[in-house]
Amino acid sequence: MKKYIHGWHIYLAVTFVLLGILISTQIQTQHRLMSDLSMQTTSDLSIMLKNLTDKRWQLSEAIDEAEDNLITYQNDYQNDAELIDRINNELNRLQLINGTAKVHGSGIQITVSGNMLASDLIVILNELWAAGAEAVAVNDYRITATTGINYVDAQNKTYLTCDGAIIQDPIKIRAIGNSKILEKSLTMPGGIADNLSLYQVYLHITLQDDITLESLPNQPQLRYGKVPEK
Amino acid sequence: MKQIRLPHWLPWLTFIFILMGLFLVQELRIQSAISAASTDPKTEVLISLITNLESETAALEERLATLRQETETIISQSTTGESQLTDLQNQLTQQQIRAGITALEGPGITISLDDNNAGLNNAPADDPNRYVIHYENLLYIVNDLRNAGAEGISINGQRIVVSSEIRCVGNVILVNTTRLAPPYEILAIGDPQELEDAISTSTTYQQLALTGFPVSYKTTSSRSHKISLPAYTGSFSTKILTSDSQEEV
Repeated sequence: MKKYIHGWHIYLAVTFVLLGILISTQIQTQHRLMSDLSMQTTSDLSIMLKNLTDKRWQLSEAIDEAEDNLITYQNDYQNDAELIDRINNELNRLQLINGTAKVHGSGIQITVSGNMLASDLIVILNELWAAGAEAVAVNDYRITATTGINYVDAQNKTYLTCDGAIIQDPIKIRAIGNSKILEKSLTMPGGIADNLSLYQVYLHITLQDDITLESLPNQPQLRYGKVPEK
Repeated sequence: MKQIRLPHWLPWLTFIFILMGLFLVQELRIQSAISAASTDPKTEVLISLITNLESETAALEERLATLRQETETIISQSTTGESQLTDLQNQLTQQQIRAGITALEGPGITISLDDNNAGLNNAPADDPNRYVIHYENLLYIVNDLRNAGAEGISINGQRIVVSSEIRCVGNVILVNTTRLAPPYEILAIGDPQELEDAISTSTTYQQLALTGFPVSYKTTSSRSHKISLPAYTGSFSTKILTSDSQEEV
């Protein structure tokens, strides 16, 4: 039997091609729109706005200080005493940030009960930084820019580790910062605390006026990274 | 009774009409979402405020970076030959590197992650959330790299410092309060072999690769190929934090 190509075959083929193109365009549009600002809810936009406003204030303050520093260096760098003072100030501040110095301030303490996973701890720490924490420690281990969270098996038990150091139960996470904001970031409805409670992991949060976080001495020197030469 | 013969093309036409119908419904939904979003005056105000603030903070970050660099140059010029100052300056540089406010270069790994657009195209009815990279994916990969001894990490040009947060607000991923868009490029400096091992065995990375996400990684093989990380251009908050030793003095 011989097969013929009818006119409607061609029309049908053309229609299908067009339909395919339309559908794929639509999916792409939809996809792009999803992450577009106009597709976010008002409350999400408000959160973004608040974060950006905070960031602007922090930047303005940092710029004021840096300008002040620069003027001192430009005008008075013959005056060694003041120069040394300025450098020392900046050095001290960076040591607080880097965890190379002991710090204190108000904040929160979170005592964890239940079997917390490494991923839970990562999310909690991330949330604390997002809520403006200025320094964080897990038990007495100070969290730095390079701290990795992992597991280790020892004495027939699995422990969480920070840079390989075992975190014994009960796990206490302490963060310095605005204690109300820190607490709220974890306890908001549908937030991390709610989520973890589904897995029988409970966060007992207490606000504290004065928390002291130990420094993390002997942080490894960089072996691979170098500051590029100008 | 005479049997009615249906034309060949009728089932095809029916099929096309069904598809068209689905397509139109979807299109109408998108359109109504767009018009709802764009006609809400509050949303419009918020968006314009956000975009203004974004350009403002970008300019401030640039200013801060320039100031830091100028200060660094002056300090390095003024301290040559004076041992106490040189010593202090070296300590300061070390702490600046550790904090991530200097650029960093060295051997390492580049990881690329993108949304699974092809997968979504093939399954348009599926939940689109299953085909996008989530903030947790980035967060866990950063942790995997830290466990492998990464000395510095950046995501799409945002240097990861101690206080960097990786989060999502709505469907937008933010790092250092800056909006990021896919594809995501994660750079890390460290032992290339260890970083590679960490990524090839990373649960997060494997899961993305297995579910069809376009993901890949590449380590630096020769000395000529270096990873370059930008400096952190934001600020650190130390409003509440005080040094323990300062009060004792």
